Amino acid sequence: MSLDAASFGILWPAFIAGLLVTATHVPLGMQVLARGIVFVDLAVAQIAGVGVILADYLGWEPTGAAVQIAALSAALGCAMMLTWTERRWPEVQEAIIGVVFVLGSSIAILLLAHNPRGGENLKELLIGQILWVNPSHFLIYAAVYAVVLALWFGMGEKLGRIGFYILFGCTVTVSVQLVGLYLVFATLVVPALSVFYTKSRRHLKAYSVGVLGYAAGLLASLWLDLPSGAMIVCAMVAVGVLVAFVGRRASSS
Amino acid sequence: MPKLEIPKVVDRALGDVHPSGNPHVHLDPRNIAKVADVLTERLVQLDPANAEAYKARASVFLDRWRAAISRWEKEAARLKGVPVVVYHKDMSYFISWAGMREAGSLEPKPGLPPTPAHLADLVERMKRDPAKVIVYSPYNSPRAAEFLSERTKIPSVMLPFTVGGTERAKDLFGLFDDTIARLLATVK
Repeated sequence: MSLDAASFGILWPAFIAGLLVTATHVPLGMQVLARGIVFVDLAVAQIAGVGVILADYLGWEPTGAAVQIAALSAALGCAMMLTWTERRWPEVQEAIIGVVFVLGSSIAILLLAHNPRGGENLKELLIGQILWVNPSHFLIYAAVYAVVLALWFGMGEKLGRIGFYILFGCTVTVSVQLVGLYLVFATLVVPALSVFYTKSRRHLKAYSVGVLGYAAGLLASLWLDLPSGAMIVCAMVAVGVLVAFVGRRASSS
Repeated sequence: MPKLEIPKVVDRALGDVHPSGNPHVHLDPRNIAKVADVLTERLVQLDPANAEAYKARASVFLDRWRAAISRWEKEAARLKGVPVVVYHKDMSYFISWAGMREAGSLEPKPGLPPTPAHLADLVERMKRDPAKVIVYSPYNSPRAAEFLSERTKIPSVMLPFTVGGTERAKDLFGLFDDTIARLLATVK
């Protein structure tokens, strides 16, 4: 199928969502990679998910603000704990993050054991569905991300460890609900990884990987009629590999 | 009981298709009566000492059930011919019993996640020839129904699908009471 008005109408909200996520995740991802804690987003997102499930368990309205507050509090609680463990036991931080992830997943399974709908809620949180994004919510997402970016680039080093984890917790909670965990992980790690050995214009190149990944992935999913989220991940990795090799050849010559 | 949508070819490329036909038979109330008959026979076979008790209970249930079916047939008369979009092909027996018409499904193939080309085609078709209602089950993502509803202005409604799916669907009677009531409230 070609890119006519009808398919454009389906794809543009997904692309805007991708741009919003890319805007914040590229700089955060470079930091995550530099600290060697790439699985922190899995852990924080999983704990945010436990917050959502707990809210559901307590019978709170699934679409209300209360659920967002539950997810955010859980994610921030997790972020604060990871700040503390990183200071206390820096050598095993990655292992602690891994344990938090499986612990979160297991608590979720226990909480959902008697909930017929819970499994689907959890799956949606993890896998997501970028095509369902609602354009009327973009302003809220954009506002949250703008604050994150302003603090990130405005405060720089002054953010410190706690500031980093707090911003990270807020961002991941929002983006996981927007596009799902697979895309959050890919957007965080792939662009940052592709410019890891690059010396010049790293932010520009990393942002290009994110933007091109979303654009190519969405177009490919239209042309091949395949699910968009998985296609975007594959496209972003392809663009990332290309940029990494072109970047290395350029810097070694 | 006659199965719907028995595939001519069974191929994983078609998605999660069941070779012996669509398995969600419980949403045609007449099938529930058939299940009750077969179940009674089997229980009598396994436990002949209590045969009379099983038969008596079955006949009480079937009397109540047949009365309910004729009530539901009257209530659902207004749904005849109404075009409906489903998320997954799990409502086929209800749609067929009520005489509704399945105009499309959000999934491109059963069990496969929606793709942009399929959604673009569905949205275009619904703009030209709109269905009256979009239905989904408690375990489907409500975001998919909202997505289509927002673009086409077709109202969407969650149906219980099975006992326990909604507050009102406490037993088999509640399941059909609630399914029909929700559809009637949405299809004005």
